[in-house]
Amino acid sequence: MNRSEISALAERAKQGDSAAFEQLYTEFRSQVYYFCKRCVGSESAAEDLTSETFIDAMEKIGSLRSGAAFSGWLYAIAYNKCSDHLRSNDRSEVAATPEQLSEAALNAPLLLPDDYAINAETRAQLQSIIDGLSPDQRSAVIMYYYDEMSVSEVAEAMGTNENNVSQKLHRARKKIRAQIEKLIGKGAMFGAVPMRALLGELDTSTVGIAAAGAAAIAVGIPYGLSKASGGTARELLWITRKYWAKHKKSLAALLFSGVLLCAVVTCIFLNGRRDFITGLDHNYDLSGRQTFMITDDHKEVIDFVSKEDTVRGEVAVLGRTGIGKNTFEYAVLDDPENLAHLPIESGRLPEKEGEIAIYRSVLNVFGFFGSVGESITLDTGTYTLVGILHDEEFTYRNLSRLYIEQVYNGDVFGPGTDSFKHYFPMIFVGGDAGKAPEYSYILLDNVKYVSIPDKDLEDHDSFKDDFSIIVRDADESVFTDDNDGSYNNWAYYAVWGGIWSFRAENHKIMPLYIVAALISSLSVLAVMRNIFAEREDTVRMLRRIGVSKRRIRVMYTIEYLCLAGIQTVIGIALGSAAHLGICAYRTSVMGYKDFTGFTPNELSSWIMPNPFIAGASVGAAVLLAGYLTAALLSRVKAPSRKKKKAAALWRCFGRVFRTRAVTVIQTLSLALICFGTIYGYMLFHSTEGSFDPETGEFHELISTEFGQNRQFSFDEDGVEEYYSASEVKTAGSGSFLFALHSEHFDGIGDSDADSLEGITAHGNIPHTFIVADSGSKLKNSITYGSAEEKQFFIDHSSEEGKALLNSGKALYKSPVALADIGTINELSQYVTSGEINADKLNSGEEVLLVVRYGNAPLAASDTVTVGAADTDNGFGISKLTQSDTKIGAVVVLPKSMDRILRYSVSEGDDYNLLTTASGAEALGLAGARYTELFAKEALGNSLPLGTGFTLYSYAQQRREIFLRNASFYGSMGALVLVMSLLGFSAYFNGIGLKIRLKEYQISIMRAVGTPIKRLRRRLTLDSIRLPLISGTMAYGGIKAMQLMMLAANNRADKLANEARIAFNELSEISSAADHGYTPELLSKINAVNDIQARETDVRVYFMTDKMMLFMNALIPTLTIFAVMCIVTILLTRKSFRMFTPDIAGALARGRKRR
Amino acid sequence: MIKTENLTRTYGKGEGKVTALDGVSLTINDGEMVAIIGKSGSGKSTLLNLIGGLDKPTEGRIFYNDKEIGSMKDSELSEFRLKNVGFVFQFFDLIPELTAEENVLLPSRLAKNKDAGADELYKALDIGDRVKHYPSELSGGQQQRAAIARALINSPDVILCDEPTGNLDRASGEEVMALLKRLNTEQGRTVIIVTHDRGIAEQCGRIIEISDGKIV
Repeated sequence: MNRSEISALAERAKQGDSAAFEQLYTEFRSQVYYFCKRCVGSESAAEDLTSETFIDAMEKIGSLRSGAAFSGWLYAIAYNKCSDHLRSNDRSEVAATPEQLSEAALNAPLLLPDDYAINAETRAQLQSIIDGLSPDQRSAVIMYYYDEMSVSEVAEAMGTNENNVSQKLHRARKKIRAQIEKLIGKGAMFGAVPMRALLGELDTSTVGIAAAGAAAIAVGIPYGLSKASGGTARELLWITRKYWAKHKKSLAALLFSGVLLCAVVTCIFLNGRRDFITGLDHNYDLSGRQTFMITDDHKEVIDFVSKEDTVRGEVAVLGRTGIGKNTFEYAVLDDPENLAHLPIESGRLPEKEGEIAIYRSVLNVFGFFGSVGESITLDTGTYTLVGILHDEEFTYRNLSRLYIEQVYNGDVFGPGTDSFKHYFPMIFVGGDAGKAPEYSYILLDNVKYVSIPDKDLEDHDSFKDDFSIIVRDADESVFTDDNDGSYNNWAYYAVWGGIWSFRAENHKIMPLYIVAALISSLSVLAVMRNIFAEREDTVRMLRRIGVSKRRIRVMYTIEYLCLAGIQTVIGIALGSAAHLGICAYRTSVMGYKDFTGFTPNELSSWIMPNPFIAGASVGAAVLLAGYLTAALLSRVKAPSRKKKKAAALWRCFGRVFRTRAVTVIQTLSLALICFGTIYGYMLFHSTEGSFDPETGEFHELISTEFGQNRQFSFDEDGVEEYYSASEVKTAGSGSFLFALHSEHFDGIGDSDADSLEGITAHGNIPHTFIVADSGSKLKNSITYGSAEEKQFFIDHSSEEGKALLNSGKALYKSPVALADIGTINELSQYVTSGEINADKLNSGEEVLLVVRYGNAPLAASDTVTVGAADTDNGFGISKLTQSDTKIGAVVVLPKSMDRILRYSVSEGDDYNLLTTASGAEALGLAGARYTELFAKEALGNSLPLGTGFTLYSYAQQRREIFLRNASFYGSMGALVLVMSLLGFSAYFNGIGLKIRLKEYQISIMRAVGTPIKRLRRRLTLDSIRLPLISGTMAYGGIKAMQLMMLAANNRADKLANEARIAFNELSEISSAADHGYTPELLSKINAVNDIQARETDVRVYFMTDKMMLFMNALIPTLTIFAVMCIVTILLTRKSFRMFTPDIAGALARGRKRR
Repeated sequence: MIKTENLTRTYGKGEGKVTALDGVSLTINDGEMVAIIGKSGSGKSTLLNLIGGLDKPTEGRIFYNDKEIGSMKDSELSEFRLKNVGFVFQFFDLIPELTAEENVLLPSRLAKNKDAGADELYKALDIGDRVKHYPSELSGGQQQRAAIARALINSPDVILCDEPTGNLDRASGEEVMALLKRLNTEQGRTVIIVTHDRGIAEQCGRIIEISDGKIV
């Protein structure tokens, strides 16, 4: 409320408007209370006095002269009340002698300890100082400073004259200042703070604190500088302004480096923030929570999470549908908000009954190629497709996939390893949730971030880094399962794992950022050094006419602050713009989610510094370092060389041209550019592909090759598109592998394949074997590992399995491959014995033996027993199939045969059995379905719904390759460009500076008869030396890094080995302990965990990446070296052009400069 | 009155120790015009720098009217120089980024001396039409006149000149000397000139000759 409003209100109150008085009361109540409290010191008395004041005011409002005088009048009443109160307590103030004081003096800032706004103790002390003033002084101070009344108003309020008030204020100030100085000691850091800010501060909110702090800085710095300069700050600023106006190029160079540095740092931190947010979103809600799915088998977990305050929603699963043998689960959503974060590719989430949104991949699996708005029929009914969800790698969240966690009996679905990951076909059906669900899934969504108390940190080394996540219930007690606390651990590791992998990625990229920052810093240093060298004369002249050292320092400080300010503002703007540009590119071209570093997220500000503060402070720090280094270097004198003997001309040149500091900066910046570029190159390769240390070949992540073993190429084999279904998953122990019974298997049968014209179909069932009496010539016999392992297997097997394993018969690994009959017929040209008979193959009467390498172990018409085993849990044999069949024909594959045909048999095996899907089914083998179909052209859209195939297309693959390459080369190019701009600017600046600084020397040498050719040669060689040293340094750096990684890798391997040994011991102890935890067991568990944690740490912190370990850095180094040399030669030549035949002129100029 | 007592200044140490000034005691009265002459390396510039407070003596004391300047702190000494001493150097030492006028006014701005009477100075020194130019655009004589104007702007009592004509042609040199003499005779300022040129020295009221750091 401003003065005129108050005035108007007071006028209305004077007319008897009680509502107006009430408003005034609201407005002034706390101020008057504060005033009284400060006057009398006691809260209860202040309350009484406040109410008395307002009662008096209400009664006497008629006597108010005018509305404008209200506040003074009100305070007069309050003051009188307080005086009466104090008088009754017998406290008074002796009048002081009159003194002329201006208002300006009263408002001069007070010097306060610079931490007063944040340090509670200091604040309390200041409070007590103000409380220690005499009552009159206190009243005057509060009215004047806190309530912002003018001196005359205060005088009126206190019933005295203005002089008297000024005097009181002056004395109070003096007293406060003296007390503060006494309290803090003279040596303390002081910030100048306006009295108003101080008073408002001491009793108000944090906003007040921030404002006062800002005011302290805003007022304190100029005030302090002005004071330090003896009031000539303006003149000093003027001198530097004049300097920069005449040296715009240097200013531009300096600002360029500083701004880029600031921008780079800001951009880096913004990118880091975005990556973190993206990572969070990838794995968790943006709030840092993770969604887990738990089946209703686990009543105790569900009970725990079902508490109202821990559960955020639930998904009821309606039922199942079968697509081929593939089963999907449909979900009904009771709270769509839970899924608001799901990535929508087109359309929206369902809102009404009969609407549905489906993942793109699931639609692919259905063979549905329509778009939003069309209707789709599932076995539960017909729905309108209102949304298609995005399920690219970088956008899915756990919720969208089903993870099978085997460790806990498959009851808990949590993040598992990649090989156990399947799409969970979230089909969101809006509306009717009334149907009885077959299963109910609860979303556990109550994982909180908690900070760990220090004492806990001591116990858990692995918590030390940032923070950890623990599942807690409403009472903050940690939830643990009755048995072993596995849910808690599991939740902890699940969430922690995400943060950890983010850190691992960050660790890798960090050196690159550091290099970029270092290069920009060097650039700033180089320019600063240059500027200082140029300015030495000016400073000397200033000193001569009577400018003290302190003023020179103040001058530089002012300049520094101005430059830092400009650089920060432009740098942050530029960095943010660059970041947003990158994000826009990622969103629009790459199709990533539209997160930026500005996306609000409380965790990101917790885990990493504010990008703007980081950018500003790094920029400012480097500039400051530039100033300090330059100042120091300008004082360092060249070491005495008296004792050196008379040198050869060559050495004389060397001495003349060596400007040590500049050379160091040049060398370092070149080395850093070199290092950064090579490192970036290695980083790209290590993240975007895989490296084979044996062959030294690098395989790109995305290739145009495809198929199970990447043995086909879109290009060479002329395949436009193909369909593929997931492979059968394996589980097992030792070398004995079984198909998991619970695995679903996608594919189509022979009859379907035959109905599709021109199709080539392939598939295989790897977990089949041949049962033979011992003594067979068959190779690859299956072993059971150790005797214990075999026993374990037998124990976990069905009666059938036990009988087989105990029968003494040998089992030989021989996967069964599947192909459609057309493909099989094409193989007939390679038949060496026997004959292919389609009918016998389909009936299971015969199979083919395909030999890839070596001799055929069986002949046509031999009888073999083909076995296949199923297992429920990966241990033992649950179900066994054994069938006798005959080898119909032996096919020996030549190397020259069509690659797609060759693909129809198992890669990597010497021989295998081949039959049709119908034949495999007839033999009773599980999962007899094709897995890949080629020649989509022939299929058109006739592929039956629910065949469970995923479409791969050459065009799509190519687009991805193009985009990845474009963005990689784009970003690498941009990074190298920025680094080079900065690094080379430091380097070139160095060359320029050297030649300019040495102009005089060069002139002298020319004057005494040294040909310029010789000088040029000398200087060029001198400059080439730098790239050479830098290249060597960078190469050495990379090699050192690789050695470090290698050492770390070995250490990690050693730890892994230790962990394995410890784990074995643990197993022994735990089997001996039977049930329950013995102290020995517990300590062993801890030891194993500890070793494993250390191993992970080593791998994260030392970026032990296979690729980076073996990458050869020599060739890139040489390339960069060559480029640097060429640039250097060109540049030195160019610099030499400035030397004219006019030696006398150059000498005169040089002399003058000196 | 300027008085030095046993002024000694040495550089370096050990074998390489050089005594530039060796126990010089002299007194210069207010209003005097003194020439200090001597050969190169005799210590005359060192003496001038010490008197002007640009350098500190190894031993001995310097008094300005009983005020000892050797013991002053850097900031006090700078302030003292700014207000009481005007320097004129052989190489003018004008700040290249400032115009002649800005150079001249710089000391007055620093000393917060608003009413400096620069215009009269320009008139007296005959550089009024060149004051907006940068030093690089002025001739040697003009630069030296600007430097003198700068030395005079704060009306110092003492003007110290280090080879003021050393870098000037004869005509300009004579003009500068005439100017300095006028300052001495008309305004009664103390002028101390370091030179190796006897002709210049003889225009001064008193000649102090220095050889090997000692007054001869």
